[in-house]
Amino acid sequence: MNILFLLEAVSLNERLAEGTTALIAGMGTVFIILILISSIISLFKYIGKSDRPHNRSDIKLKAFIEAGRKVEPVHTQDDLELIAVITTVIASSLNITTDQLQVKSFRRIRSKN
Amino acid sequence: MLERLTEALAKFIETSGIYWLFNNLHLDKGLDFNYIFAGSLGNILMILVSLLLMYLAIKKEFEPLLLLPIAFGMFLVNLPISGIMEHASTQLTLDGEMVLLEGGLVENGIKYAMMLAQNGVDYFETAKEVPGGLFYYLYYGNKLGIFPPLIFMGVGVMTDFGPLLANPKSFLLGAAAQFGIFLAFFGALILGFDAKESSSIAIIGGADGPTAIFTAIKLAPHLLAPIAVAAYSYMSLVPIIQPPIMRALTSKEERLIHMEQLRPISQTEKIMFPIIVTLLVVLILPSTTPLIGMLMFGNLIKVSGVTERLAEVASGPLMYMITIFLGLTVGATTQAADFLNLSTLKILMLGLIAFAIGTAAGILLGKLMNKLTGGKINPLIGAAGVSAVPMAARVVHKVGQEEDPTNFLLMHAMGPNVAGVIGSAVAAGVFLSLYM
Repeated sequence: MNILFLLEAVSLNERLAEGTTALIAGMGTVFIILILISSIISLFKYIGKSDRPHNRSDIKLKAFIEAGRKVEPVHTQDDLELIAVITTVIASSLNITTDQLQVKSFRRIRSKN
Repeated sequence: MLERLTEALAKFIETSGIYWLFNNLHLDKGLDFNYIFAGSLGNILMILVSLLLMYLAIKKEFEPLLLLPIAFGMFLVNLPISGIMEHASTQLTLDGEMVLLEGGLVENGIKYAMMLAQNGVDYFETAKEVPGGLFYYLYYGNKLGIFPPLIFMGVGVMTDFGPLLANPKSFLLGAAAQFGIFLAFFGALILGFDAKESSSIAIIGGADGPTAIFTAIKLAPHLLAPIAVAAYSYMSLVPIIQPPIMRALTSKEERLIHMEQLRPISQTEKIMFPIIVTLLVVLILPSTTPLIGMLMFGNLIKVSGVTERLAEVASGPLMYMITIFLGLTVGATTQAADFLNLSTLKILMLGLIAFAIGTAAGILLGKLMNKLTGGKINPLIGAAGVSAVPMAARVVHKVGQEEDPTNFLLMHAMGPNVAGVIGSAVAAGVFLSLYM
């Protein structure tokens, strides 16, 4: 009975040692690899500067905001926020990112009452 | 005539599922649960579970694309003597006697030769392959490790790594959330599973179905059924499991934090990312090649901008086709006789603990990063470090909006979320290199 108990204890100790090794080696490897990738990616911003996207939606949005400024300067900030909010909500519900959406037109409708 | 009719009717009844249900109640040995669940009561229980999962998928919309095929696969396989998951067998006639061997003709080739040589038999009269059930063949996609990397390719197409590129610190949150995996490994070892089994069970904590299946196939194929079911169930139940942990570990002030807008990402950066990640990860952990390779390939065909049709197929028809096959066959592994046992219960419990700890570890590192950056990071996004994409990020967004409807955390949470996908694949790679 004592021998059995001893064997079980040894086995448990071995298991704990195995678990500790995997925990340290595993988390260590995961962190090292991801930190390495993260460090390399953080250098991307320097490449990115010369190649910033000026996609059509950005240009259109800017043009729209400019036009909005000329016509209704009071609402510009509100409109910009509103467009951002609407775009994010639509993107969220469609499970896509906001850069895949293009705001073509945006019109305020006056309340009837 | 009447006698023949009665005989035919009796035979018809005896071969029906209803007869099987009543004839296999297994109540003659008292409360021996293993014996009881191997009978029709086990099937009935699993059918009820499948109906519950169908309800959750249809009514509550918990990852219905996955949960519905899994639930229906479970339903079909537990209908008595449906034979849909029946393995192929070979029928031999030896000296007028019929012998049935498990496996097809090819699989049995060597076996026959050895058997014939041992028994001194020179020949057998006939050898006929009896085909297996539909799901038995579809299941080969899992068994041979084909479906998980193909799913990863579709995920790669559908994933926008932009938020991660804009905020590379997100990688740390994706790494922290893998803590649950390694702690569950510890727990599984203590509960008596061996190292290979424990590794496969622990990966459930990554909330990443394809990675969990891939690891289980390589290390503990006999546990594939409960592991796949647990992984996909927890992925579907992210909206139920995560929010209480998120609320418990963060203060209202922390949940209200608005994060700065992310910088725009150039196409060159987007193209370089999959190539560099593949290069680095595969050079360090070659065992992750099928998963990381296909994930990054999927992403490359999308961001390159020149292979839109390939991207469409990979993320559309192919992805959905594989999802149907994978879901149905994963569900079909839950035959009551094999599935209802103590070890399944332990696996489900360990998976849940791993997932909860992973979520908590992500949030805690988020809190630490929040302190270090002077309150610029909302700790909630750490919860998205588990790799259930994009469900975990959506849950973060939702919990953030409960406090402040003008707080849009979705894109910020996508960073740790996709880092989690890479993180769990790396964690799987660690286990594969340690124990395969």
